[in-house]
Amino acid sequence: MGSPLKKIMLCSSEKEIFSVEEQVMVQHSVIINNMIEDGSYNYEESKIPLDCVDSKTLKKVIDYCTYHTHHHNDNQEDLEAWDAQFLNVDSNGLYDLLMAANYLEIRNLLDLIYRTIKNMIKGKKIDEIRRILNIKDHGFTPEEEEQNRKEYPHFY
Amino acid sequence: MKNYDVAHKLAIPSLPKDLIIYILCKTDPATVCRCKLLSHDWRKTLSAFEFVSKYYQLFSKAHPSILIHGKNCFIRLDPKRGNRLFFPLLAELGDADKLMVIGIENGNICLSYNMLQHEAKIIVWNAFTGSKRQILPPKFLGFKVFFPAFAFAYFPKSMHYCILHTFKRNLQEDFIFYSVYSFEDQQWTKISASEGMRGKVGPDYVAENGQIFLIHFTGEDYQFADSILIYSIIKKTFYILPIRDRYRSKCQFLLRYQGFFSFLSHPKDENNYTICIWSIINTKDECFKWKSTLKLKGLSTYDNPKLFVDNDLISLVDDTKQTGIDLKEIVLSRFHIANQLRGIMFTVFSGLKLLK
Repeated sequence: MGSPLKKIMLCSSEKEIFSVEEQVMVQHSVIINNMIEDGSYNYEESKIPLDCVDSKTLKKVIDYCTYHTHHHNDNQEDLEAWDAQFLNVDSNGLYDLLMAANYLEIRNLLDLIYRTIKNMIKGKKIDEIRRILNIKDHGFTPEEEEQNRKEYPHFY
Repeated sequence: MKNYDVAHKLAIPSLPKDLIIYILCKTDPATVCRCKLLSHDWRKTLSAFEFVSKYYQLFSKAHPSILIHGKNCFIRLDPKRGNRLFFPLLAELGDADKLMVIGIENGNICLSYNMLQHEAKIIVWNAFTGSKRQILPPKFLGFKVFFPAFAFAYFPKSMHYCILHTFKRNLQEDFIFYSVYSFEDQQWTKISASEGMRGKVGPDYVAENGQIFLIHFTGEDYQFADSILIYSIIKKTFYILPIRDRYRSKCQFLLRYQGFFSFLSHPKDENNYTICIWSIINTKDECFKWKSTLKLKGLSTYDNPKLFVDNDLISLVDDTKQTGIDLKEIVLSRFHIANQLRGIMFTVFSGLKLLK
C-alpha cells in the first residue's frame, strides 16, 4: 500500500492524463493494486495506459472510487442514493462504465452495475428486454419463436 | 434501493458472454429462463455447461430449500429466510395423492404419476421454468411388474439425465430386471445384471457424480440390507459394495454428504434413536472404503427421526402434533454435520408430506 499523498497517472484512450491519489485506485482496482505492488509502476515517469476507456468514462470511474474511498463510513442509505445518482446515465454510458470496471477489476462498481442491469431485466416481457438490451436479431427460426411463445406465454 | 429506469432510454450494446454469465449467475431461475428466450446466442450461452454448473452451484448454496408436497402444489421452503414459493401442480398429473417423487436434481423434479400398477407414467418437470417431458416407463409384454423402483440421476458436467428402472417379474422370483432411460436417446435400454444381484432393491437411492447407489436386500423377507449396488451411468456397469455385518439389520438410509455418498442407519427403540453415518469413500479404481462420521442421539416420537438430507445438513422432524383434522404441526430442526450444531429451523403447519 502506498502513502495516501502519492499520485499516479492514468491515461485514457484519448491520451488525456488523469492524476489520482494512489490509494483511491489501489483500494478499488485489483489491476492497479497488482501493478503498484509488483513494482512495475514508476512514480516519476509511468502513466498507466487505459486504451479501452475513454476520458468521460475514466472520469466517472475516478469519481466513483474517490467518493467511495472518502465516504466509506457514511450510512448505507446515503451511499445508495449517491450510487443511484452516479448511475443516472444512458445505457451507452452504463455499458462503457461496465467495460471499464471490468477491465480495471473494480469489484463494487461491477456489482453495482450488475444489480442495475438485473433490475432492468427482472419481470419484464421478452420484447421489452430485447429492446433494452438492443437485441435486434434474435436468431430463432419462426418455428422456434412460435414454440417459445407457446411454451412460455407468460413471458411474452 | 432506488429504481433505476434511466437505462430504458437507450439500448445497451451487446454484452460479452462472460459478463452475461456473471450477471445472471445471481438471478432467479425465471429471469434466466426469460433470458434464454431472448435470442439464439443467449440461449446457447445460458444452456452451456459453463453457465449451468456455476448457476446451480451458486443457486443451491444461496437458496437451500426443502420441497413440500402439498395437496395441489409443491411448496419450496427456504430454511434460512422462511420464504415459501408455491408451484401449482400440472393439470395432467391428475390425482395428487397418486404422485410419487422419484428425484429432485438441477431444478428438475422427476415424478411418477397415475400410479395404477401398469399405467404409471413419468414426467420430468422444472417448476421454475415450466419445461416438462413426459416419459412412458419401459414396456414388458406378458408379465406383471413387481417392486418397481426408479432412480433419477444426472450425467456429471452435463444437462443430460437418466432414469434407472428396476423391477421383478413376480413375487417369488429372485431375479431383478434393470433398464435405463437416457435423455439423449429418449428410450429405455435393458441392462444385464450379473450374478449375485438377486433379491430386492429398495426404493431409496442416492445419485451422486454419475453413480446411482441403491440398497440391495436379501433374506426370506428381505429384511437384511446385504450390499449397496452402485450403477455407473457412464460406464453402464454395476459394482457391489458389501455392507458390514453390524450395520445390516435396523433401519437404513442413503445420503449424500460432502460430495460423498454415505450410509446412515437410525436404529430406534421406544424412547430413543441414534443416527449413525458412515461415509463411503471412493478411493481409486472404484474401490470403496467405510468411514464412521457421526453419531447423533435424540428422543423418538411417532414421526421421528424422519430425515431430509441436503449435503452437510440433516433436517430432522423433531415433533409432530395433530392440531386439527387435516392439520399437523411439524417442528423441523437442523443438524449441521460438519460443525455438529443443532437448532430449531422452523415450525410448519400442514397436513402435508415432506419430501426433501
